[in-house]
Amino acid sequence: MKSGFSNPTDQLKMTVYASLCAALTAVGAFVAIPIGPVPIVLQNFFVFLTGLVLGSRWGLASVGIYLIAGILGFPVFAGGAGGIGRIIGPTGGYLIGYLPAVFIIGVIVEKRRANLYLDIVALVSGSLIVYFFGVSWLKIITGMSADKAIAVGMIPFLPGDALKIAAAIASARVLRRTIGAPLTPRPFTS
Amino acid sequence: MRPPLGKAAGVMADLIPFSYRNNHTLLHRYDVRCKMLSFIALSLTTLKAEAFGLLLISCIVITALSFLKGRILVIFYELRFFIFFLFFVFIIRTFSTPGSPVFQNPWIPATREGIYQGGCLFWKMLLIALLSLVFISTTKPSQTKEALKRFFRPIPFVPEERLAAMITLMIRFIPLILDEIQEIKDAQRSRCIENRKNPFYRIKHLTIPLFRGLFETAGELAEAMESRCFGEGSTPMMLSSGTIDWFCLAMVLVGCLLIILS
Amino acid sequence: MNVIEIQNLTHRFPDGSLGLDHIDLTIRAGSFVLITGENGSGKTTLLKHLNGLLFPTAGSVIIDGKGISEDPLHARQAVGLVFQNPDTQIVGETVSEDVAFGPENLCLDRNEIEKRTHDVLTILKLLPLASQRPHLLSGGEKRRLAIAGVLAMKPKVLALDEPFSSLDYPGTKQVLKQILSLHESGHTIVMTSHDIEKIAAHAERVVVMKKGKVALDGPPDQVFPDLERFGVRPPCALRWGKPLESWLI
Repeated sequence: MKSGFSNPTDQLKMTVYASLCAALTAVGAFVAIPIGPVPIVLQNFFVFLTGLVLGSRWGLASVGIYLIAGILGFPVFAGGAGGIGRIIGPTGGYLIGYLPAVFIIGVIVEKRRANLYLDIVALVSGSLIVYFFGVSWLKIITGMSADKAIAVGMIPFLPGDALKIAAAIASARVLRRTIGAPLTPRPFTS
Repeated sequence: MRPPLGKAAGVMADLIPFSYRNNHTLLHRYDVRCKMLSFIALSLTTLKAEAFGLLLISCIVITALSFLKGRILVIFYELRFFIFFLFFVFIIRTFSTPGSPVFQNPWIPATREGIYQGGCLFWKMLLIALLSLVFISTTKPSQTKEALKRFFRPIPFVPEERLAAMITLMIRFIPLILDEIQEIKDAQRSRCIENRKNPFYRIKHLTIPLFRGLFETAGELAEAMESRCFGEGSTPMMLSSGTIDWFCLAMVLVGCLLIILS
Repeated sequence: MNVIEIQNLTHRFPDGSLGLDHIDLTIRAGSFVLITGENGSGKTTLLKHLNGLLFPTAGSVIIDGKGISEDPLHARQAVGLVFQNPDTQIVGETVSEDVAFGPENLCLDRNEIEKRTHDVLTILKLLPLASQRPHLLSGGEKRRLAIAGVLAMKPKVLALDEPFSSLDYPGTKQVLKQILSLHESGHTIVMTSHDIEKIAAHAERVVVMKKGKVALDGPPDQVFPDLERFGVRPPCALRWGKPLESWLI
């Protein structure tokens, strides 16, 4: 038997799921609400979800694909634009920060699947990582002071993030059930 | 099993800004590898360029934009958020850069140096955004994918086939997600979800079926790909590059070097 | 000659439930077989075995002389499987790119791929839409594209899962017409449907499934009167004692 042509491989399924998560992240970026220099987006919600559901390796692949597509100019970043300009633009730090964030989220939740406290710890650390990268870059590019950068680039988003974390955990619970045993077709499907 | 999405549902997919537009301009025919390298080189040079270089690159960008006839206004409309952010950066730069004040009024601490620096930054970012926009509207996603595959091939440990396939899949999923959202929303509106004022209730009832449906669709898609013999190898796409393509690329690279060195 | 030989096929899902239960079925090359039965009777599971997407837990499935477990790639080429929901099987960014997907995966020569794509699009009357985005096609067009996608791999057998579901009348007629002409050009057609009205006049053989087993198997005039018992509505014409009539007339 040729490898890669057995029963639909988990790998192909995970490849497709990771691409789907990347696409969801892109859709999350379309609905950008501009407040100040950093818009409110749903991107980070989907990055959280990706980490929770796909784990570290596939999560990293998913976010990596998302960023590469964006750098190549596909319209996947906030407000429906793309391009290298976004990565080096004022909000680029957040985008780059998604990579380590999703990886750490994945690493933490892989320790014990579907544990509520672990999920919360993972997402809180994930969002702190995103802010670390995001705010640092915002400070560099705009020349603002650290206090100011935190004031416009982090504080306004914290309440929203708490909601996003709650929503991501709730959604992940449902999705893990859908994907967790995705490789087993339901009996008598027609 | 959900029914296939109808034609009416496809409308939202059309609203995606910055997609490939079929046409036969010079830029469309420019070999994708050369085009990609040229655009990356130009973007990076823009970052380093001073006034003269920026002027030169601006001319190139304006020429390139003229190939996308009739879309200029649309383009600026699509870029409105980005321009808004850039403007914000401009304002902050204007106020935070030390130098000689423009106005005597102490309430407006703008400096000449700040205006110059902020203006340059604004212009650079805008140029880079426009560059990638020109690239995306004149290049088929499948060409981009093929070019990507070839660029990543020499790099060890990067599964270029898979990477390219994932990008294609991702681009393919975006309109599907938008349509699905619209369909679920409509279905729920028909059952009077608008009477529920609680946003959490409404979000929950949108996202849960959305995610479940999408991940099931993704599973089916994986199966369909499997049934059409998707594996690690496939016929490469033909990319033809003539002397002219490489000549153009060389011109761009030389130009970029000159701008950086000057 | 039998293009499909299924012997004693049993499929048990990983959760332990039984999907297919001791199925014996041989399908002659060039025939037109309709597989019917209520929802959940195992029709789709059976089709997925023809294509090597699922492997038997027990028994064997032999496609064109080779077992699917030994050579699934052969099965995937020999049997083109058209899924129920065309949205989940269209991968390309344009119509012609989607058709080329299968042949590309077979690593065929680029010229051959282009020839096949062109031929298949012509047969299915999709040529004017070749550079269109698949997402924007109508239901009938999408279904024809899904058929085109597997046809480009030159299968001997065309397996269609509920090909008429959620199609309007013109769409149904378009798809039906294509299926019939593919049958005429020598393809073996295996089709599942729980609503047999649209295809009743054309099927040469009807297989009725119930709870993962083959309950009835025979020519239409013998099987149709008994259908009611297996949760499938017999064609209207029979109730009124009239001859079956094609939807294409």
